[in-house]
Amino acid sequence: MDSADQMTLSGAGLNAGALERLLQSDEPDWLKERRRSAWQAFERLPAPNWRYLDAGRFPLGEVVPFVEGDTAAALALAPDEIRAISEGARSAAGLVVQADNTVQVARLRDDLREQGVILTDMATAVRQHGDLVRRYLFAHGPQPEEHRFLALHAALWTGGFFLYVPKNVEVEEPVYFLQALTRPGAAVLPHNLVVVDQGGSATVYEEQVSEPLGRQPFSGVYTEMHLEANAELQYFLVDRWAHDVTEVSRRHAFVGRDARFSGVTAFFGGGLLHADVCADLIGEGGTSEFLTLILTNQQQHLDIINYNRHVAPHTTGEMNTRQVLRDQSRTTYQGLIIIEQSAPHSQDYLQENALILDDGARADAIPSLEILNDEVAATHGATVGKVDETVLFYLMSRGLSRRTAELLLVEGFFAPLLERVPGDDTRERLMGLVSAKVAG
Amino acid sequence: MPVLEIRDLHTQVGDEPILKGVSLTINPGEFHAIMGPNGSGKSTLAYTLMGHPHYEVTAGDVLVDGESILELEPNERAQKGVFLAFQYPHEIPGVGMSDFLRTARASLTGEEVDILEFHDELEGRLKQIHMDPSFATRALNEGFSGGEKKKAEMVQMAILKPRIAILDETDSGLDVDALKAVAEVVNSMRDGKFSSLIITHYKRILNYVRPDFVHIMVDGRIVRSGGPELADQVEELGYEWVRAEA
Repeated sequence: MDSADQMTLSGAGLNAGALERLLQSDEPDWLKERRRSAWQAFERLPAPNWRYLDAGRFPLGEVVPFVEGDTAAALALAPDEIRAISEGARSAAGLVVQADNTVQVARLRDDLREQGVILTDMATAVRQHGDLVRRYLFAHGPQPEEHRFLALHAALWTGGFFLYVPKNVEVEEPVYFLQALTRPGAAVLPHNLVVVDQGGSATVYEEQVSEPLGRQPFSGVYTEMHLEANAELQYFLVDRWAHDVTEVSRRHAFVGRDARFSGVTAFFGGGLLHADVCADLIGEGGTSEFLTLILTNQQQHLDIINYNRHVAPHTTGEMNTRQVLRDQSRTTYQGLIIIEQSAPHSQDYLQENALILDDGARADAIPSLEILNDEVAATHGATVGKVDETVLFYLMSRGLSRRTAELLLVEGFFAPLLERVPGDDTRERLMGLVSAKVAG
Repeated sequence: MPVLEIRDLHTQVGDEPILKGVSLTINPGEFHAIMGPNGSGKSTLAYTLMGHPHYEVTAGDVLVDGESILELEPNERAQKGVFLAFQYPHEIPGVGMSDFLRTARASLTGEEVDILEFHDELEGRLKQIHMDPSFATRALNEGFSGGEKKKAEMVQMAILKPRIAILDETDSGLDVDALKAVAEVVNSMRDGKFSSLIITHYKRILNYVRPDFVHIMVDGRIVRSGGPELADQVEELGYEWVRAEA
C-alpha cells in the first residue's frame, strides 16, 4: 500500500470531519462562515428529486477529499495541445492543472498579467483577491441554502481556478483548465470562478479526464461564470472521465447587459453523472447559446439539465443538443427555457435530437418551457430515433463495415452541431473524440 | 468461371415467399437484363444478392467466383466486386459524397486513396454524367432530385469499379438525356470483364445499353431467357404474352 492509499483510507467521507479540516485552515473568516452555513443546509436539505436519476447513488460516504494528486499523471492524460502548453511549446493565455486536490500549474501570459488579468488557483484567490471573489462567489443563481448538492459543494469546495478579465481587455487565446483524477476513490470539488468585466472577452477551455482507478472517484465541480455588461465569453467543456467516475456538477453563466455567452459542452465520460449546464440572462440584451454533444456507451448513465433563464428584457437564447448512445447506456437530457415575467421581448430556441445505435440503450429528450411573459418567442423540438437498418445496409453495400457505416452516420448526425463549434482545432478534436469512441 | 451464379434461389420476407427458384449464370464481360412486371420479384432479387437484412434466403445459393456469398455481410460482398445501384437511394445527412466514396474505396481496396487523384477522378465522372462538380462536397443524396440520385448511383459505381453491377430500375424516372448519360457511364465500364445485371420494366434503357441476354421474370421465377430480341417482343406484346405462355 503506498502513502496515497493510506491517506485515502484514513480520511474517507464527505462529512463533518472534512468540513472541520477546512475550518481549521487559514482561509478568511467570511469564507469559513459561508462553509458553515452551507454545511448546515446540506444536513438539513432532503436529497433532490431528479426524476431520472436516484441522487442516493453517489458514494459520498466512501470517497476521500483533499487527496494529493499526481500532476505528471494528469498531464499524461491531457490532450496534446494542453501538454504542449505545459511544456512551453505552444502559446495560450493561461493554463491551470488540477490533479485530484493538487493545483500545481498556473500560468498566465506576462502581457495579460500586465493588463490586469488575474489567473490563479482559488486558494490563492481568496487570500489575494478576497474582495473580488467575495463579490462574485454564488452572487447569482441557485443558492447553496436551497439545494443539497450545491450546499455540499459550497461547504467543501477546494481547488479550482479564478480568472478575472478587467474592463475592455480582450484575451484572445484560450485559458485552459485541466482537471484530472489520479487516485482511487478521490473526491474533488473544485470551484472555478470566471469574471469577465465590462467590455472584456475571453475563452475558457475546460477538460476533465481520468483512467479507470478501481474505486469510484467523485467530482463535484462548479464552474461559475460572470459576464458584466458587453462582456463576451466562449466556454468549452470536454468531459472524458473514465466510467468509474461519478459526478454532480454545475456550469452556470450569468450574462449581463448586452453580454454574449456561448457554451460548447461535450459529454463523453462518467459512469454516473448529473450535470446542470445553465445560463441566467440577467442584463437587458444579453445572449446565451449552448451547443451540447453527448456520446455514451457501455453502462454509462448521464442525466443532464440544460437551461436558459431569461430574467431581463430583450434577451436571446438558443440550445442545440445532439446525443448518440451505444450498448446499454442511458441518458436523460432535459432542456428548459425559462422566461420570467421581467423578461418581455425575449426569445429562445431549443432543439434536442438523440440517435440510438443499439437496442439496449435508452435516451430521453425532454424539452420544457416555463413562460411567464406573453411578449416572447420560444420554440422547441425533440426527436429520439434508432439508427435505420436499411440506411446501414446502403452504406455497407459500398464496402463499409458496420462499424464504419455507423461511424459515418454518427458523424453525419453530429455534423450540424460540430459545424457551429468555433475554432478549427476544437472542432477537429471533438470529431476525433467522437470517432475514437464510436470505433472503440 | 462465372462471375455470378444464382442457383434455384428462394427468398421470403416474413412468411411470404417471393423468389421461387431463380437460376442465372453471368460470365465475365456479359450484360444481362431482367425484365418483368411490378411485383415479379426483380427488386427482391437485387436486394437478396447484396444481402439486405429483411430478405431471408430459404433455399438455393448465390456464388461469386464459385464461392457462396450468402453468409457474407453486404460489405464483404462488395469486397468481392458486387455492386447494387439502388432504386431508392438513401439520403445520408452530413456525409459528403467525396468523403464517403473515398472511405468506401479505401474499404474495398484496403489501400490509402490519393486525395488529389481521387478528386480529379470523381470530378471527371460527375462531368461525364452531367452533374455539377459541387455535388462532390454535398451530403450524399441529401436534397438530390430523383434523377440526381440515380445519376449519383452511377457515379458511385464508376468510382468503386465493381466486377458485377446490379442496376435496380436505374432507368425509371429518368428523362431521355439523363438516360443517355447513365448509359454512357455503364458502357464506359465495359472492358471485357465488367458484367452487369440490368433490372428494368422497360426496353428503353436497353436501346442504349445493349444486353447480351434478356430474361423475363414473372411471379418469382425466370420464365423465359433469350437474346436482345426478347426485349422487343416484350415491348410489342406486353408481359401478358409471357405470362400466358408460362
